[in-house]
Amino acid sequence: MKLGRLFVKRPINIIITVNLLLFSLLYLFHGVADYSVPLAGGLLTLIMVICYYIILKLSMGDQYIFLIISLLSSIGIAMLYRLNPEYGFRQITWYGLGMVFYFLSYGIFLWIKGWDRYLYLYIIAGIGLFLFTFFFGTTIKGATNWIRIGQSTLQPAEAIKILYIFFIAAYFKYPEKLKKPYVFLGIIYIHILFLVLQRDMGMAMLFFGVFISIFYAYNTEVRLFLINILASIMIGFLSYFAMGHIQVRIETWLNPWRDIAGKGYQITQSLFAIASGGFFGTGLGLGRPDYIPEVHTDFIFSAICEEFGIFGGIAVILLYFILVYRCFKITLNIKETFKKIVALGITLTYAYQTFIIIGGVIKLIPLTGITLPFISYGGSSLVSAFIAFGIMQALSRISIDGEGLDVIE
Amino acid sequence: MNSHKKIIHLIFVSSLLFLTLIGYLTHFQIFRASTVARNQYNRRQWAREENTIRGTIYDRNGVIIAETIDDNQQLLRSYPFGNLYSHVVGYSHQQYGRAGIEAQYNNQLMGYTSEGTVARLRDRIIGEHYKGNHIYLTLNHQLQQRALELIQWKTGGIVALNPSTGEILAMVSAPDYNPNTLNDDWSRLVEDNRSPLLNRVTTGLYPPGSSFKPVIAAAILEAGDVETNYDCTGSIVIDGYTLSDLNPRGHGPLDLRRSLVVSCNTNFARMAQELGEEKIVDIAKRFKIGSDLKADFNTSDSSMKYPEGMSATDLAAVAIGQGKLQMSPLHMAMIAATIANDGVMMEPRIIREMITPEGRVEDYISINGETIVSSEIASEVRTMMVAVVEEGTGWNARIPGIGVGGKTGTAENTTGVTHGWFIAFAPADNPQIAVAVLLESEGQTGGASAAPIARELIRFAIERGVLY
Repeated sequence: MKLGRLFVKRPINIIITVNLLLFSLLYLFHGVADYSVPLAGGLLTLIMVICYYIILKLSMGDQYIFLIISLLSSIGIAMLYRLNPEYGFRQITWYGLGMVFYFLSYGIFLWIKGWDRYLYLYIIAGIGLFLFTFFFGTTIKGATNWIRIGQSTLQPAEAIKILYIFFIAAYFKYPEKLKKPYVFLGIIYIHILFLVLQRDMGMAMLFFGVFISIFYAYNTEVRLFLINILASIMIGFLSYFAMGHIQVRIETWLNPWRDIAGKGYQITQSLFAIASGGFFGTGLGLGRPDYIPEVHTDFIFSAICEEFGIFGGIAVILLYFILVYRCFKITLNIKETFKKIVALGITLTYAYQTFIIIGGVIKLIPLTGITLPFISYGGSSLVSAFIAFGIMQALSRISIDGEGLDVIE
Repeated sequence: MNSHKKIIHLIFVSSLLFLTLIGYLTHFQIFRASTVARNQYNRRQWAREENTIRGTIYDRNGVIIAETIDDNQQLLRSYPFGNLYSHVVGYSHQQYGRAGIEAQYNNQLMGYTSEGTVARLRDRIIGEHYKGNHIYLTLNHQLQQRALELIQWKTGGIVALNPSTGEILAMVSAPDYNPNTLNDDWSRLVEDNRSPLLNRVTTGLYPPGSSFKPVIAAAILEAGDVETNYDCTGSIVIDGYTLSDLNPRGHGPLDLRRSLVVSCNTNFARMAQELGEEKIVDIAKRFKIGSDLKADFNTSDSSMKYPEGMSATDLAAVAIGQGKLQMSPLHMAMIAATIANDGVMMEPRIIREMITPEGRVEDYISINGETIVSSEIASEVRTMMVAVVEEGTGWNARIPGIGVGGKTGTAENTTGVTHGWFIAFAPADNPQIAVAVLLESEGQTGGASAAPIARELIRFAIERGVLY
């Protein structure tokens, strides 16, 4: 009973406990002489505890958003640490930096009023970033969606994700700004076209999914919605026949076993890992996730399944589920259209992104390269996710404070 | 509809997506994972294999047939008797995969089936090798050795089993190979057109010739109304085709017993006409032709394929074990065993016991049988088969002091050179062993070529008492 109250009253204790367990296992795995592991774990836990108390003291709204994304980050960091200590440590740095952005985006979102007035800015910035990537981008793993700055690379699509949500929200707040809905639709499809041209199918699916869902909720013309659905199906078919790499994706999804050493290599290695893990997993450090290609980014979920078992994998899915559910509740509590759509957009983006990548690595849907939010290794996606959920944190405060704010508008 | 309601729809959709993920993952783990994990491309398997002391395979009395030796940290699979067990036990080789018992019971030998998570964790932590389960076969090493001696340099197969339990006592297929030297021999083995890698006893299918006649005899006895007395003139015309006997002068007047003893083709062909298609198909089905023998090792199903029904000539052909009848030597031995075992056919067994590395019995082997013909019919056929050896074509299988029942077969086939067959059981009054010998494209009659081999094997088994 006492233990239960300890976790219920102070849920941060759950995170401390999980970190303690994960990093103790890592410590054993790396050998007792390596003090960097407890050091890293201690550092991470310290950042989390400090951030948690900041959120509590400043009554920044819903505390569980932070708790869940931190729990997911912990699991990701532990897994990355196990795969390669260097990546793990860098990810802790990214987490720290991400939290800075989290508070910044929280503050800036609340501080600046009238986010809904910059429709043109969102469009120009989004398309501009795409054009920039298109002309100056670097190709990594078959997708031209990276920009190289000195030693590091970043993915502009991660930033465009947020601009895109703001653009859609601003449009539905003042639809008359774009004269006709076709102009709006045109701009949406330009976004998606750029992603297709960059061969970033996962992002293209994600952008379309988010758009069509919000369009479903806020567009009043049923006919227009149906036209969009039909058009997207046609585009899907056309691109299947026109683009060889999409055909390959579909074929390897339908039967990866035909070419295990070739085209089906990635997905079959992922399935081998999941299958070898069984229900309870091999245990942290006892599996062979190093056999999986791209294991620290796209395929990190397979590594989690191998070492923590299907039950570990399901636990991760449920964490996302709770996160998405809380965000939906926040969305429903907001009255003002722009903020409501921003909240909805962020929620859907991360719900769909999770589905697309987990569904891909377990062969439920065709595999597309996209990161698993908060868990995959990578600065761009982690920082953009923290920015997005910083905004969500701000929105949660707005939804808790009641709708005093929409009077200001 | 307002947007609030539509957002709730989106909540449903998102929830559904997450539940689908969980559902699919669970489904995958329950139904697909074990197959996927055992895929040979899964490198975890190799790592696991390199670190596993595969279980030892023994004969029924504990003679080591296959074992894994720890040679300076390198695990080596060794087969102390070389060629002797090649077709039964097969091989487990990094490059060439697995065959035989090594393939079929791989999970047992690797210890996949019995390991607990705790035991696995313990082994991982102390850095010990994984250990697989040991397998005791039903084979008798001495009998196996004798069988190999008897068939060496020939092409064919010998199988001996216990009629009352279905336990395989010896099984040899020739030509064979040495599983210890696959690296050097592989390309030669694959290219050899005598197919040394094929287990002729279990997966080779051949026309049985006259050795199938006991089955037809059983059907005739069951029917009861078939006229069995006949005056054989050496040939018979059925539906325009002339079918002749090995003995062109004819056997003269004979009954069913005599027809079997001298192996009279013309009378069997004639009796089959009276017996009719229905009863022939029925007896073939009951003797499991065309169905699984339910052995605990891999076998090919024997077959008798007449999808458009049987003509008069087809009936005649099947009655003398020709036509589209294709039998494995194992199946023929089981037919002899069924006659010997009062009409009950036992499921063939080669696994006697499986034991965990800790010495616990892992799996109990079930002994199952099925009545094919009544014990009266079986007893009558048995008497006739004893007569075949005592006074007929099976003369070469006689053993002083031991009653042997048998049936010869000389089967025509597409190679143009006849196969020699002999099926037998002994002792006649209390059968302890049933045998089938097949000599592929031997060119001699079964009585001349196969019967002496069966005799030597039975004599060795019974006189030396090396049965069980």
